[in-house]
Amino acid sequence: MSRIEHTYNQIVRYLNGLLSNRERHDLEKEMMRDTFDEEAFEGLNQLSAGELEADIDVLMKRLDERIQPKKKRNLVTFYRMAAAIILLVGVGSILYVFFRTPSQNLITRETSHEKLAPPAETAIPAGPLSPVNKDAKTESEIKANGSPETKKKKTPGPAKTNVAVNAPGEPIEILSEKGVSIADQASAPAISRQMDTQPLVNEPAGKDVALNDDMIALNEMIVLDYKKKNEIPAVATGKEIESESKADADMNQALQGKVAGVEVTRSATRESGEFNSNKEAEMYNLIKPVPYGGSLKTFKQWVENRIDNKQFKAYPGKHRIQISLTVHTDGTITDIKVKNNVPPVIADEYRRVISQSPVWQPALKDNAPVEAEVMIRFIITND
Amino acid sequence: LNSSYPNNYSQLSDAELLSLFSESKDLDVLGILYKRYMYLVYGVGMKYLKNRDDSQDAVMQLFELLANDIPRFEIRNFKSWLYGVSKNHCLMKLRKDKAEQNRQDNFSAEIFMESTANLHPIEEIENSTITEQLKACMEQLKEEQRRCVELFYYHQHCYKEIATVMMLDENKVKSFIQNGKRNLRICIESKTVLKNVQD
Repeated sequence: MSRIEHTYNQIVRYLNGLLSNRERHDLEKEMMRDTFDEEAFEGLNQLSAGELEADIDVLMKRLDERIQPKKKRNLVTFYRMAAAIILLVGVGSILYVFFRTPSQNLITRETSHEKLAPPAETAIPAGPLSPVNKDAKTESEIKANGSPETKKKKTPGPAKTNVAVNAPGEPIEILSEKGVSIADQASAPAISRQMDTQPLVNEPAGKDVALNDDMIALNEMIVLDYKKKNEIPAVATGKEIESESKADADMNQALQGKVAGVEVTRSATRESGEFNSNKEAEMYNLIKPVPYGGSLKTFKQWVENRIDNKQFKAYPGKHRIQISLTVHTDGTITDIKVKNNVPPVIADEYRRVISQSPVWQPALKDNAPVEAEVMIRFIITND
Repeated sequence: LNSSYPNNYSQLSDAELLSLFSESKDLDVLGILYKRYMYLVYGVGMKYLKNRDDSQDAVMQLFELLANDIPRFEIRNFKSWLYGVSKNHCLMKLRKDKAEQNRQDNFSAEIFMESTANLHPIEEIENSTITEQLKACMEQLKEEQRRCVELFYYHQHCYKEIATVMMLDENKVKSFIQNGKRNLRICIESKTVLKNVQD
């Protein structure tokens, strides 16, 4: 057996010219043992060593396939099925990701649009509220959740709202505040923050209707998170809710009203049909940070004046720039992050300019400064 | 050639594998046996069909043929039997192919294999009588055949060397040696018969 292998290997070497003359003779003589060897050797001499080896390889494979066709076929079937499953899962995931996200964005946008459309409804969503503060919700809050209930107006009476505002006409939305109720009580820096009595006006009513999504987005500063929380005596269960809301709730979730705290608000609203402005006032003890310049509008102006847009020419078209940052208790801003849906050049430039911003007015909770993570948006159009 | 199979099978002799296959009809077993000689079958295919693709097909077709025929025959010497079957298969193929009609005529005469057991007289050097007869017969060979046989058997040169020395084509050398051997055999056999008659 091993001799047969040896003979074969010698033939390959013979054809390759690797044998000495003596070895050649030995092989030639060996291949004269019988007619089979002789004729086979004669036949194989028509081939090069490479051809012989390649052909024998092919024959070995063909023979193996012939001998074990079932095993082979089963294996092939298995791989095919596995591939099909992987493909299905992959395509499914891709479809899920691509079709889910836009539809939710749509809801959010519709909600915010609806929120602004009726002139009577000037309230701005105040975001999540603790369940304890049952009667503190307005219609617009419910809308922020995208709940079907938004269509029913349970509390038609008061147009008064309870929303923190930096300056008139410039709404700030608090989407997540980890179980702490929002208060508009006037506090140190903001002069006109007596939200109890001051209905919040986004924009003149007629203009609201004309606003497109982008404009709405542009005019809003969204507070994603208040980092340091104070104990609020009025809110007995505040802590529990805090633990529920996730600190790392991402931007999109916050935008879509999906943060845990918001859910709580909704259920609480249902329970209380009444609107009590006094109690409300007690709850809204959070005040949003105020950008440098006194308002978001001026701050954005300040930023845009400093942006060097020469480098943006390579990226024509409309870019929505979404920036999150942290306003510390001393008013400094850090953690400037630009959502990566814009070219890096643009993102870097915005980050550069914003990082140079002088101090803001920090967010306030019970008149005490707290750290807050906020989101602002810019839209640029390059022609 | 045997590396892809378990050792216990590849250690078995041809005869053992044959009987194992006859009993079990396990193609794995036949595969092990067939792979030992596959390169020879392929070589025979090359000799007759002179075509790599046809030769490969012949190797595969012969495997099918063995799978069918082995259990039906009592095979004593697998290698000899395989040679006969392989050569026949190639000749049948040539016969079917009308364009190849002429070529196959050259081979149809010598279908039987020289037995491994019967060494050619020239290889049985120890037999002094034969050596004497051989010497006598060598003298009777044509010059080219005699020189080729001498260089190959007594000087242990390979075809290439002989071809160089004799200034001949390698194929010519091969055929001189083959014909020389045949003539020697005939010569020796006739002398032996003559001697027996005289005795």
